[in-house]
Amino acid sequence: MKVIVADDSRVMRQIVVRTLRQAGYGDWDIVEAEDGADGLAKVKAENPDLVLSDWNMPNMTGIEFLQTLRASGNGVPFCFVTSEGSDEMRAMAANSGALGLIAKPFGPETFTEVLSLVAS
Amino acid sequence: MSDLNIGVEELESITADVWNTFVGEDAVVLPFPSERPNHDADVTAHVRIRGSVAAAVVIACDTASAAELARRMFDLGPDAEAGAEDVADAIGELANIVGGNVKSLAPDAASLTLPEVGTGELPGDSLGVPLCWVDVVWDGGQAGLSIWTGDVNTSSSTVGESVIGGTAS
Repeated sequence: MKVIVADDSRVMRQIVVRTLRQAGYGDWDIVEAEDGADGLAKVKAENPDLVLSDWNMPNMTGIEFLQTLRASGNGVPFCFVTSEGSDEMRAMAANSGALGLIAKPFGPETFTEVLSLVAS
Repeated sequence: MSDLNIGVEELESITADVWNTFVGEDAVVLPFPSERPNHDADVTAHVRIRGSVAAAVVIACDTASAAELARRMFDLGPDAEAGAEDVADAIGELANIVGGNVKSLAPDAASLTLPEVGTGELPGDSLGVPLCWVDVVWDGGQAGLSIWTGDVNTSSSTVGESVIGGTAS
C-alpha cells in the first residue's frame, strides 16, 4: 500500500505518518509531498493507492489537487486531512470525489474509521 | 458582513482539543484568562479568515515555550532542541488548525489564509478588535490564543479598547 501524504507543514506530515503507524498502518509505504503541485507530480510518478492531503496549501490547494486528478481521469482514493471540517467543506470534498475528510485535530481511531474503507 | 458566532467557551474547547491532541495531555486552558490578549511576544503566529467574516486568530508565546511546542510536536527526544524552522512550522501549523476550527463556525463561506509566523508585537490595529482570548499552559510552556474581528484595512481600533476579562463585549 503506497500513500502520498501532502501537507505544507512538515510537522503535520510527520504527525500524519505517526498517526498512521498508531492506527496499525505502519507497514504502508509513505511518500511525502509539500503542497498540491508536488502531490500531483508524485501521484503521476508513484502511482499510489491512496492520497491523504491537506486542504489549505500554497501553490496548489488540496481541492485543486483533487479536481485536477479527477479531470485527468485519475480516480486514486483521496482523503482530506484538514483543519476545516465544516459541512460545507465536507460536501465540497465529496462532490469533488473525495473518499472522506479527517478534521484536525485527529487521533488514530479517526484514521482507522475512515481508512478502513480503502485498507480492506 | 456577518458576525463570527464564537466566544471564549468555543475558543477554550478548540484550544484544549488541539493542545491535548498535538502538544500533550498535560496541557490545560486556564480558567481565568489574562486581562488582555497577548499579541506582543517573542514568537507569534496568526491566520486570517476572510469572506463572510473578517477575523484573525493569533498564538503568542515566549521563545522557550515555542521551542517546547516544536520539540513535542516533532516528537524529539527530551534533550533535543528544535531549530528555528521547526519552531516556525510547528506554531504556524497550530495557528492553522485553530484558525480552521474557528472558520468552521463562520455562518457563511469564508477562506483561511496561510499562517504567518513572526517575532515581537503584532500591531493591534492590523488585527481589528479582540473578541475573546484564552491562555494555555503545559509542562515547559504557556501560550496565549486570541480571536480578533474587524476589517483590518479600515479598523482604527487599538489593543486595549473593548477589552474586558477574557472576552470583549
